[in-house]
Amino acid sequence: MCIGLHPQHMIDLISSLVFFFLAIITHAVYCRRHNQQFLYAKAFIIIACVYGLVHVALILSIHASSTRLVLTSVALYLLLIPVFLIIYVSMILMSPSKKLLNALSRHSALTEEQLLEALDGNTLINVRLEELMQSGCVVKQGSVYQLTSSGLTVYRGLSLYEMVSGRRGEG
Amino acid sequence: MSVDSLILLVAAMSFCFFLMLFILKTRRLADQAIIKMIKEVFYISSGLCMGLSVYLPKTLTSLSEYIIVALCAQLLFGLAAVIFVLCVFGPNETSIRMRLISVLGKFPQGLTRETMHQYYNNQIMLRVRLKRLMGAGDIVFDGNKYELKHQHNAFFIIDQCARALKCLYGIKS
Repeated sequence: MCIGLHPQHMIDLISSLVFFFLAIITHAVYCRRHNQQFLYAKAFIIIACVYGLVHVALILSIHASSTRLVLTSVALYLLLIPVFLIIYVSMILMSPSKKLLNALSRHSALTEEQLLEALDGNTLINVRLEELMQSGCVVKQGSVYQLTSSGLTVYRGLSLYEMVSGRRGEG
Repeated sequence: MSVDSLILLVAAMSFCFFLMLFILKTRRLADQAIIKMIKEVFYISSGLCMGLSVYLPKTLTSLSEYIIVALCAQLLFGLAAVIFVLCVFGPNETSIRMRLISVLGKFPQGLTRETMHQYYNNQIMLRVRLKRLMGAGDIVFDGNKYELKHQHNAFFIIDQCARALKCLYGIKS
């Protein structure tokens, strides 16, 4: 049994990381030229797809051998995209749990009333409701909010998930 | 079988095991135990991934190939598990939007904002999150006040990455 890494292993893995970071840098340049209050997740997906195609074309153009990690390299690149998007979204949006932890890290200890004030959950609910209306899942008729057909599709998906997982999301 | 295919096979098998164990273990589990359970299932599946990397490849000849299979499979499995927890499980479990859709779905005739707040409001949101965070051991309750126990949790890691990204994107905190 010999010890030593094939340079081709490293090239394939490093190339997927290089193309992934290139996609991030291109996206950052794009976002810096636009309104920074908004998320540009779709733009990142398009940029990542373009770089992904270049990446695949490049690694396939190199002579194939059994020591190559072509599939692993592509899988790594594909999996890194949603992981980046999670971090990218959390850069702009603040989750309620993170809000609570931030409030607790700023003060040594807080009562439930102080935490309620820090969370400001009713405002969060109203903002999310507006976002659901903008995305076409919810419609307001008079003073009543109802699910649209796309909202109902999401609801059915949610019910299916609850049936499979045996869990009811508490929000 | 090539090293490349072996890595994908080990990662895919570990992820399938993770999914099955996850669904079985988290089924009807109380909110306060959920974060601990996710960690446990992840560690068990990681162990299986390492085990498969050592025992499955019969055709490998060098130690370096075993190391490559183990590390790459672990990396792919880890990323897939993180994506599942944060993109599939997380939103269904904790998303405010999903909860609102769930409430509205139960009332086809619709609800006013005030009625909706009876089913989901500031207090329910806080209670659920405090249960989860206390269950994970991130915060403690002394009978009157809540305190932060661990500074370095999953939120902290994502927060640090997001801060680094903010510099790259030129976003002021």
